[in-house]
Amino acid sequence: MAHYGMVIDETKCVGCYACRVACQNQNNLRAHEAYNHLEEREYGTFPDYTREFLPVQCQHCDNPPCVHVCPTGASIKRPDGVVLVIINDCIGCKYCIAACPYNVRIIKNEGYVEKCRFCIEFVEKGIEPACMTTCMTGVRLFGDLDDPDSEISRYIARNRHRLRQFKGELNTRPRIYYRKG
Amino acid sequence: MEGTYFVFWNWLVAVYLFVAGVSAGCFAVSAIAYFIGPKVYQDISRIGAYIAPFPLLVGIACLIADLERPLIFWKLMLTLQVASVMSWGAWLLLIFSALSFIYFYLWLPERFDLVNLFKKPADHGDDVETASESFLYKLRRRNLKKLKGWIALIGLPVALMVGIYTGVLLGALVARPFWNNPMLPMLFLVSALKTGTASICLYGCFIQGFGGMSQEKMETNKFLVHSLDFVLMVLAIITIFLFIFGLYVSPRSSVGAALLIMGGPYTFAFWGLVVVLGIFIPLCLEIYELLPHFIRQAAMREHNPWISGIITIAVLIGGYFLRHVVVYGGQAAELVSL
Repeated sequence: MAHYGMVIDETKCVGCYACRVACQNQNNLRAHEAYNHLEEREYGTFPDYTREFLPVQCQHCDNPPCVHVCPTGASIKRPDGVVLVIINDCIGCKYCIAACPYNVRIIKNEGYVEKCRFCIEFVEKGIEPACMTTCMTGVRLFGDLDDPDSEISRYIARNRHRLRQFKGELNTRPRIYYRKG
Repeated sequence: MEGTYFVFWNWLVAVYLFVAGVSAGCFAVSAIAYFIGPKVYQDISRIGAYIAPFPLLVGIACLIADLERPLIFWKLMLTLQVASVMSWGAWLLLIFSALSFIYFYLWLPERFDLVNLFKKPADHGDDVETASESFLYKLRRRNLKKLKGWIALIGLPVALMVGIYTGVLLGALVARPFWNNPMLPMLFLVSALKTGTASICLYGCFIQGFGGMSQEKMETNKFLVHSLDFVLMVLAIITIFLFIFGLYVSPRSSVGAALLIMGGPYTFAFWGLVVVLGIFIPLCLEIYELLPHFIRQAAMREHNPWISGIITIAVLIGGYFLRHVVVYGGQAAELVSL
């Protein structure tokens, strides 16, 4: 069985927000709703200065706090690694929003919680997620972590020492790896 | 975005956490009073039993109103998610509200006995027992004393669990540094017992009044309420100290969260309303009331409605603002950072 994951090469991100817009189009979101966001950070003062863009979306954790806290079982972790909300079972208690360390869950006007689903309906048809295909600098790499010959598995194997998991010390075991340098 | 945060749980949740604490505290104090002196502290037990079910109803209404889809809240009761504190809490509240209503019924005076409903007016004063009323008859008349004891015994741990659960609900979230503190459930439990005692005192002094109560009886009740309150105040101070200490000896994000109440936007609400108004002022008044009794073994001071009024109102306001500061502060605190 496939086990999906993603690599985000932060050093390539220029902060154009195309991934956010592509995701909003793909998922029919309103202007204020987004499944991914950029955390912009600035360090130092000019001229000794740098800034970073950190693209953040659902990390599809292997130990997902949002799934554990859900009182109705609406938040689930699929066997292929994707964390999903069964929207008919969501009562909108927002406990998962409180539990998520990445701040990537949103409450829709209809009253349920939604989030990045790795565009799983498209991935199952062999199409890649919108945030990945739209990116002009190729920040994201998506694929099957269980297949040792997939591009992402080989990338991770070659760059393991450069990859970090976001807030990994919380024992969430994210499926998204970040390349910082 | 830096500097902005999203408030997903508003004051409704704070009100819920507060009133659930009041209910749990009333039941627990009532049960404890019943165990240490079923006759002597009868009034305290009775008042506690009278109050306990009703704040909880308000709380459950708040909880459902806070849901984004309140109409399908019943989905909570179709499942028990073992890993979810909220799911446990929903079942706990169901059990606790059932127990508190039974307990309430058992403490009602005899004229409210359900048996009376089934009696025809002509039967009054008649001790003949019909088949239809025999179950209720056994429940109320024959085994009343035993039943009260059993419900109090089963209900006491459930009430304590409700008091703890309101804190664990927030404390279980590793992502939120202001909440993720082992002292938070303890703080909420102590505060729950404190607000429970205060509401019993408030009801006793100002709604029921002392009509027909002998001086001695009043002193006995007053002594228990004030002593319980005094012990709880001391525990509350220790717990608050440990809570803040726990935030400071944790990673950077927790220290950042502590700054919210140590100079940040919630400083006044926390230190002014929760600590000074909710703990120190009542504690000083308790000491004023109890000191002659403790030191000179003298009789309690004359009942002064001002003192009881200030203590109870202050404790209740402080109890609410503790929940308010924790609910809003937990959301204002930055998420744990990398």
